[in-house]
Amino acid sequence: MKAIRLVLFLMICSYPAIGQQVSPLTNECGSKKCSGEFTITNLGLTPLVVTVIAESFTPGPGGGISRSLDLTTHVELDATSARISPMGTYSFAYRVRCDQLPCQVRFRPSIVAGKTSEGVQVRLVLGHALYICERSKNCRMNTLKTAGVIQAKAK
Amino acid sequence: MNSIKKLFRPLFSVLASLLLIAAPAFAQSPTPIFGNQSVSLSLTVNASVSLVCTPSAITFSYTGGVGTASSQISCTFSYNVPSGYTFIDWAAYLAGGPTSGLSGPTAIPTSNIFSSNDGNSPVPCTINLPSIFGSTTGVGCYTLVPASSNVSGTSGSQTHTFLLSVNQSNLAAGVYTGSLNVVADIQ
Repeated sequence: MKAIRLVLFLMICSYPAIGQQVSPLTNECGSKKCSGEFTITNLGLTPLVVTVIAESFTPGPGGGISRSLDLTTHVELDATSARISPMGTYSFAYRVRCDQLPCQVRFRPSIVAGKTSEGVQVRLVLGHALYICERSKNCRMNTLKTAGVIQAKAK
Repeated sequence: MNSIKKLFRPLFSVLASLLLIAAPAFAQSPTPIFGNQSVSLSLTVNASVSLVCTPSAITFSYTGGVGTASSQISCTFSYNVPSGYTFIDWAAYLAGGPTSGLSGPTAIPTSNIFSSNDGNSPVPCTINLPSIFGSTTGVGCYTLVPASSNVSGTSGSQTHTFLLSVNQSNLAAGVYTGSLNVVADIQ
């Protein structure tokens, strides 16, 4: 029994938990040009590499639709990857220009703990959503109402 | 002598009373001035979410055509958001695609990889991802896109567990690797 516990302990130590935090969750802008940033925190005990991709999305009941970045949406990230020390943070700054409004962009930061020589490694993916409208005030809520998400929530 | 005392006693009393009344007036400024300045305090707590999974990788022991995972993967999504967020969506899927859930000497398709989610019966990792996660077909081990609210309050957490297994006989000797992507969103 002690041997089993020791093996389990060693297994957990060899593949410790990984975790990330993203803040803030959303940003709202009121013009075709928008800039902002989001911060990733490494909640684990080992250094991690974060990679970020951008995608377009349309909110809707049932989660909406995510897709590759629209041709009318132009995204500049100051970095698409970063190495974050344990409990450290990194802020990704971005500039977005949309030829058409409204437009929505979601940044997907993902982390993985190194490389595994065998078996399955876990990659964690979260999101930072950007809502761009004619006016920034209540942009997210108005977009969700227009998409029928608010009504869907009321059911 | 006594007559002199009697004469001055009332005078002393009056002088002493005047001194008691007047003394504070000499001791402090005639018009008190109080310092009064307000300092505004402001604290902004940004909405945030976190996702933590344990362990960060698993291995399999392969016997009789069945690969058993070294442990289940437990993932906790925590949130601290303002009101107006009501859905938490989840997906856990194999990144290699339907024909190569695990890659190695032989590609292992997702139909031969199973996941016991939250202790339930194993299901093949062939679920189509919901459109919010890109609609990739045949790679999902677990998805959750609720039709009604699954968020209680403005802060809390949800945990899901995934116990993977492989069921494919006559695998060629070698090393097999793959990646399980766990994604969670709140909206």
